[in-house]
Parts: sequence; structure tokens; C-alpha cells
Amino acid sequence: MGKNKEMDHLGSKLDELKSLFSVGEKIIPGIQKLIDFIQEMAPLLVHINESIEESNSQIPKATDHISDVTSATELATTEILDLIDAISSNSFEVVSIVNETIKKEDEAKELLKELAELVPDNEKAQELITTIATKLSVGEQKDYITGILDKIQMDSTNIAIALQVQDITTQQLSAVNHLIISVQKRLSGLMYELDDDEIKQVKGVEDVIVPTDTNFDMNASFIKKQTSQDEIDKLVNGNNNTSQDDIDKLFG
Amino acid sequence: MKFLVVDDSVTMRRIVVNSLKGLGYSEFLEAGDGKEAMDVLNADDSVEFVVTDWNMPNMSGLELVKSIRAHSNYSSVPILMVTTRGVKEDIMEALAAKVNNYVIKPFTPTILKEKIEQILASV
Repeated sequence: MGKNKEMDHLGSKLDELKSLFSVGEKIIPGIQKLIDFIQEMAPLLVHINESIEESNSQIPKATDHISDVTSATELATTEILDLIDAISSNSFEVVSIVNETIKKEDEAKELLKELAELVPDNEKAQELITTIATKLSVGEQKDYITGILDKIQMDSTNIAIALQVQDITTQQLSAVNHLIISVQKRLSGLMYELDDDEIKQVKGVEDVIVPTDTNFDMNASFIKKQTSQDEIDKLVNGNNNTSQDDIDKLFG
Repeated sequence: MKFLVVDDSVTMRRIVVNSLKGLGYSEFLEAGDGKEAMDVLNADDSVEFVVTDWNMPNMSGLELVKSIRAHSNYSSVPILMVTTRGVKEDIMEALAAKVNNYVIKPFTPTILKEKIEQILASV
């Protein structure tokens, strides 16, 4: 009896072994395909790795270029503001000169009056005095001249105000720079040494530091697409009505 | 009236100061960030009005507002925030920190004048 049981047990184990071989026969082609796939993929992965490495090495140059653009626009803006200041100063000087000229003209007209009184019977002299007086016409042009100068002043102010675009684009570029550095950090994390038997992370990932001091507004826009000043005014003016809940929500 | 203009952008400081000059004001101090602004306030107690940006290195405009409001010597000085940040949450946060008014960049001298006058009328 005992021997029969052992034989049954042995038979059962042989069946299990047979099943295992049978499964193995089915799996082995799959494993072979997987190995073939990995072998085919390896060069592609190396290529991808090289592409990532190349892109990664270009990123510092890209961020430098963006910083250069920021510096250049700031320099150009400063020069424009200097010129606007000069225009403003010159137009004030012109106003001063015009006023001085008008004053002198008025004095000259007074002198001409006195002269006319000295030669009342000399028709030719009277005629010349009248002609000279009509030539002294800067005073009559005063409104026109100051109007032009006011327009120059206003245009200069508007140009200066438009130069706020420099600050806004600087913030936009800073946001892009921050994004690029974040991408560089991620790309560095994706680079692995695939040449050797072992796969190991490329050194230098820790060298890429994403700045935490984000002193820019990534939504900065010269064209107001966000809350308009009117809407802001409503919020500011309605501040007393802002519920504590609203404020509490902001502080989480 | 003596203004303290705080902005990390030299261009913006110049534009704000020029705009204020155009409105007839003549006394200005400048700072490049909140920290510098606090140093200026600590060194000069005659500052009567602060115009500040929000996004700045070292100490932001919002932190500056909170620091000013927490300081007994100048907690009541009027503050106008001039910034690109225009979303409602930012404005509410600035108001919670007790800025007196809020102007979004790009601004015009007319808006600047209006807000300054509103603040001065209310304090």
C-alpha cells in the first residue's frame, strides 16, 4: 500500500514537471522576443540618451541668451528714458525762450510806440514803425507754440509709460528661464549610462538647481487679459464688505 | 510729500518717479526690494508714502507691506501697490495685508494720480 502511495506521489510530481516544461515551451519564445526587443531598443535608448544630453548641454546657453536679451532691453530702455528726459528738458527750455522772446517783443513794441510819438508827422517813419510792429508776432503764436510743446511733452510721457513693457517682458522671460531650468533638472534625471552592463544615473543631476526665489509673475502681460483695473477697483472699494471667510480661504 | 518707490526694475522706478514728478511731487527715495525699503524706512522717518511692486528678490512687496504694518514707527504710512499681478486671489491677499490701494501694470499717470488722491483723501 505504502509503495503505491509513493508511486502516485511520484507520478503527480512528474505531471507537474511536465506541465512546467509545457509552460516553459510556451514562454521561451516570448522571452526570446523580449530579449530581441531589448537588443533592438538599446541603440535607440542610447540615441535618446545622447539627444537628451545634447539638449541638456544647450539649455544653459539658452538661459544665458534670455538673460542677455533682458540686459539688452534694460539698457535700451534706459537710453530711451534718457532721451525722453532730454526731450522734456529741451521743450521746457524752448518754453522759457519763447516767453523771454515775447517779453522782449513787448518791450520792443513799447519802444516803437515811443518812437511813433517822436515822429508824428513823418508818414514814411510811421509806415515803417507799423511794419516793424506787425513783424513782432511771436506773442500771437504763443498758444500755437505751447500747444506743440505740450503735445511733445505728452507724447514723451506716453512713450515713457509704454516702456513698462520692458519690466513686463523681463518677468515673462524670467518665467521662461525658470521653466527651462526646471526642464533641465528633469532631463538630467532621465539620463542614464547605458553603455555598461549596469544602468546607473549620470552624475550632475544634483548640480542643476532650480531657483526657489521666483521674483516674477508668470502671468505678466502688457495687454490686460486678467482682471481689469475697474474690477480691481471694485475689489478695493468693496474691501470692507469682504467676508472673513473669503480672506481665510486665501490663507488656506 | 516724500515718496519711497520700491521696485527691482530700475526702469519701473524711473517711470514711477517720472510719473510722480509729472503730478507735481518732488521728493523721492528709492529701493530695489523690500529689504532695502525697510532699511530706508529705518534710516529716514520722513517717508510719507510708499509705492511698491510685488515681485521682488530678497523681500517681496507683500512681505514689505506686512513688515511695515507690523512696525510701530511707520505702520500707518500709506501704501500703493503697483504690480503685474492681477488675479483676484493676489488682490485679496494684498488687501488682507492692508495695502491702501492697488494698481495693475501697465499703469497710466492718470490712474496713479487717481489712486494716490484716493488714498490721501481717506487717511
